[in-house]
Order: sequence, then structure tokens, then C-alpha cells
Amino acid sequence: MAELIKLWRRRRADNFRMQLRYWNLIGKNSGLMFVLYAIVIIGGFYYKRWLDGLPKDFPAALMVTAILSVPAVRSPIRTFMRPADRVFLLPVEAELGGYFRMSKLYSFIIQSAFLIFFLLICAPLYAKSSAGTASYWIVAAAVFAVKGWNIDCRWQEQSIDGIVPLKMLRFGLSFLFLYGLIGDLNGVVAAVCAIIMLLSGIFLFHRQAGRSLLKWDRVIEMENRQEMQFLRFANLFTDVPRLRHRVKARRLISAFFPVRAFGEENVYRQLFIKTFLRADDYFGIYMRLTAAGALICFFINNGYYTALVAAAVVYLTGLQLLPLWYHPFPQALAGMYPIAGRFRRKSFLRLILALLAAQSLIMSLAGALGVRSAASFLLFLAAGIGAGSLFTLVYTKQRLEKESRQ
Amino acid sequence: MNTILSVEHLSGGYSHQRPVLHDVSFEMKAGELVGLVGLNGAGKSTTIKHILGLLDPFEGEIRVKGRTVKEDKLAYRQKMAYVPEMPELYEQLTLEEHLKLSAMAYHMDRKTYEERSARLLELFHMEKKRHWFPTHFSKGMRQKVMIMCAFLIQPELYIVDEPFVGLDPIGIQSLLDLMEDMKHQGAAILMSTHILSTAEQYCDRFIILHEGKIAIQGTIEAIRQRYGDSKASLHDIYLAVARGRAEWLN
Repeated sequence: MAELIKLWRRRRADNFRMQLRYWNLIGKNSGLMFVLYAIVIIGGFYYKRWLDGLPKDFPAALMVTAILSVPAVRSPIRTFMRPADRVFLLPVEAELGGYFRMSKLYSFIIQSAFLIFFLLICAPLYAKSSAGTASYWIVAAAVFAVKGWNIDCRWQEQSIDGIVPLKMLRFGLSFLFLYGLIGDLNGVVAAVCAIIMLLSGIFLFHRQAGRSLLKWDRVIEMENRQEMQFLRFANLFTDVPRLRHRVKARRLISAFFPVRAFGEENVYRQLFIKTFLRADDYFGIYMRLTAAGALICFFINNGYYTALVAAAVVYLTGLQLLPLWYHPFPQALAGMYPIAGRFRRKSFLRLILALLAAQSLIMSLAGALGVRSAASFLLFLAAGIGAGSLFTLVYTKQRLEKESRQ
Repeated sequence: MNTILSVEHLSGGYSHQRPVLHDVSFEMKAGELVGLVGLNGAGKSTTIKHILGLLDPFEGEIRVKGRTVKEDKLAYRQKMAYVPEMPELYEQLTLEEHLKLSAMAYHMDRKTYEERSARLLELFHMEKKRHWFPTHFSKGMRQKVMIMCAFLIQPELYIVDEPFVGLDPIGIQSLLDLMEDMKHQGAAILMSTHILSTAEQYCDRFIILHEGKIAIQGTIEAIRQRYGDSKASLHDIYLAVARGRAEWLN
């Protein structure tokens, strides 16, 4: 028993260290802190302006309830369970009560911290709603109580089959209870809801869970999902090894790039296109950068300087696409193909050039729309394609040839 | 008969200080299925890597149809197909795309590709999985994909490394039938395996590697004769070699 608690503590500490390392990287090299700072300041300014301009009959209470109940109801539980636990911890399932209690408590604390954030955001809006009768402190207390109830019920659901109606019930009760306090419903509604929540917790969730077995697969899946969520977030800023070499089928867009012509010169073309579309996040990075570039070109409106922006985005995108060249292909297949290295280089360069040209086209269209001038379209396009050609046909080409000679 | 593969006085391995192979010589002719047998660490995989042209020989040379890999890498590779012990697939490609890329890389026309791939997919019961990604494949299915890619191109030389592990019985039988077919069409097949009973039944000749040297090679009859027991199985003989009871070899 004590051993298992120790195990839980060690796993939490490991997780904490892992997250800290990523936060450190994110803080250091992404400019995220600056962006957050800017968002808080600009967001605060506009939020206040929006609040001042609200009409009298705006359903503020309903909105506050909606904003608060979603994070209060969503209660995944971090158990730090590993897939191997299905084998090694299964025999001591009966003794895992303390382990899971710690998990529930931990999840409650972490998620409550998020709730505080939402409560802060909602406070001015709540003050606007004339219907609000209860003090905001009482609302906050109620939100935490709802969170606790949801965490407990969510854990019971881990043993129950067919949980969709239970989830709907949880959300409905939580929402009504909070709206009873925040909104213009009678306080009696809130009281009735609270009683139903207590009773259903005991007689529905706990009783049903008591009759069935813990679904280990689901518990591990829940843990895995949460861990991945964080890693995927970190992956936006830095390279997360565990997320490398994930594959998405992307059937729709892949369908546009079937094997058209048989022939050795098309092998690597096909291989790079499919790798670009499906493997890792090459496609995602490209699309994000293109979208960001197009938005900037559309909004900045500073005449010919937009051409520089387009060229810079093309260059940045090119740099992000270079790792595609080093994407590992299986030795037993690609390593054995009787194909000259120059076909591989040519296919790669052509793909990169095509991608950068397409990106230039999209950004130029957006930029030209922003300033409503056809002449600037040509200028932006020339800048983008010029930068793309320089990057691909001069820089990358030389680099690849140099590497192949080594 | 014409020689497809010749390995002459090959010494090699990963480091010059500690060579794995010592003076290994053998030949393979068209239409031969040769079993490469040896304990873990005897040098089977190293031999295969040398033949594939992934390692440089320290001494000796390897020729496929008279040419070394140094003389013409593309022509050398064009003549062989490889089924590795551990299946390696493109995680980002579907089964069908694996086959298509192999066909393209080895200069096959589309019609031949359609015919051969349809037959292979049927043979290994994978028709319904053409558009699947390797993530959804078991070890056995991954192995089948590797086998299909190799047998699709129908080269003159097959290098097959421990192909049976993880294959279902239909997969094993299909592979054996395919190897028989290719043999009759004049291909040479070098197969490394630990499944000695199957090897004994199907291989024309054997090469028994022990501690980086060829302990004995030849047909099963010739090996039995030298062993001095006309009823001995490959298993018995192999164990004798592996346990060092090898005075009969000298």
C-alpha cells in the first residue's frame, strides 16, 4: 500500500520534471511569454470595451454559467498509469485505492487552478449581470464543489459501461445548479439540483460502479490522452521526440497525389509527397505558416514592404521543410532501390520549390486583396517565388550536393 | 549452369580489429535454393549484409552476375531482392503504395505490376488490406508485405533472412511455394533460417556457418555422408557442429 503511494509520488514527480523541461524550452525559445503578455494587455483592453458596450438585456448570467460549467464538468483524471501497469499492477488492483485517491485529489487541484483562471475572466461579466444575486465568492465555492462532484463521478464512470447518458446527466445537473446560483432562476432550483447531485452520486454512480469492474484500458487511455495533449502543445514550440514519426492517413488530400507515372524518377517524388502529407507534422507546419503569412500580408497593408514579409515567410517555411530530406526511410526498401541519388535530390528540390511557389501565390493573393491592387500582386509573387527559388535551387541544392559527395 | 552469386575468400564484419567472418567462400547457381544455417552470432546476418553491399569486405570479393557492388552499384542492386529478418516498412505509406514504389524502383511496367501484385495479394490473403497503413499490421503481416515487395520484382537473386517467424501457416506455405516457383524460373535464393526441418525439406544445399567460418557446405546427402550417418537429420548434424563435436569435419 505504502509502496504504491510512493510509486504514485514518484510518477507525479517524473511527470512534473518532464513538463518543467518542456516549459523551460517553450519559455526560452518561442517568444510565447511575450505573446501571452500582449494577449493579456490587448485582450483586457478590448474585453473592457466590449463590456461597456453591452446592451441591458444581454444574457450575461447564461454566458457566465456556460463558460464556467464546461471546465467544471470536464474532469479527466490523471492517474499516471502506464500501459505496462495492465500487467504489473493488475494483481494489486484491490490495494490501489490510495493510489487512485491521490490521482483524484491531484486532478482536482490542477483543474481547480484552471477554474480560478476562468473565474477571474468571468468576474467583470458577472458584475454586469443584474440578475446575479449571490456573492461571487459563493459562485466560486459552488464551482469548486461542482468540480469535486464531477471528479468523483468521472472516476466511478471508469467502472461503468455505457456512460454517455451519465455524462449528459452530469453536465445537465452541473449547469442547472450553477445557473440556479448565477442566473435569475430561483435559489430553490439550485438547492434541488444539489440534492439530486448528492443522491445520484451515491445511488447511481457509486452503486453502479460498485457492481462492476474497473476498466483498465479506459483508465490508461484517459491518462495517455492527457499526456499527449500536453506533448502536442509542447510540440508546437519545440521538437518532442515521442511525437516523432506519427502518421495520419489524410485520405482526402492524398487522393490528389496518386502514383501517376511508373518509372524510377517518380519513386522519390511519390515518397516525399506522401511523407510530407502524412508523416510527422510537415504538412501542419506548412499550412500554419502559410495561413499566418497570408493573414499578415492581408492585414499589414504597408505597401511594398509586404513583399519582404512574403519573402521572409517563404524562407522560414523552406527551413522548416528541410528536415523532410532527412526523414528516415527503411533500409530494406529505400536503401536497396537501384536508383541514382540524383533522382532523390531532384524530386526533393522540385517538391520544395512547388510548395514554396504555392505558398507565395496564396500570400500574394491575400496581400493584393489587402491593398486592392493587381500590380502589387505581381510584385509580392515575384518576391515570394524569387526567395523560394534562391532557397531551393541555390542554397538547398548546393547543400545536398555537398552532402552527397562526403 | 550459370553462376549468380559468388563469394570468394570473404573476411569482414563491423571492425577491422574484430572481423566476424573468416575466409568464407561459396557460390550460388541459377535455380538453387541454399540454406544458410548457424547459431545466433555465427555470422549469417553479417554475410547477408556483405552480399547486399551494406558492408565493405576486408578481404575477398562478392560478385553478382560477375560484377561487384563497387563496379556498378545500381546494376548490382537491380539484380537482387531482400527480405530482412525484422520487417521495416514506411509507416507513412499504404500496403499498395509499398508495392507500387518497389515496382517503379525496379523498372516494372504497370501491366506487369497489376498482374503480379494481384497474385501476391491473393496468395497472402491481403487483398482487403491494400489501403491499410503498417501501424495496423501485426508482425506477420508486416513480414508478408516485405515478402510481397521482394517477390514482386522477380530478380535473379533473393536474399531471405529468417522469413518464417511470425508468419501464419498459409503465409509460410505461400512463401515456400513462391520460392519453388522462382527457383524453377531460374532464380537463386539464399535463405537464412533456424527452422531446420523446413530447410531440410526445401533447400537444395546448405551452408553451415560456425564462428564466422563455413563448417561444411553441400547437399544434405553429401553432408550426411561426411558426418557418417546416412539417417542423421540436419538438426542432429547442426547440433553436433554447434556443440563442437566436429572431429569428423577434418
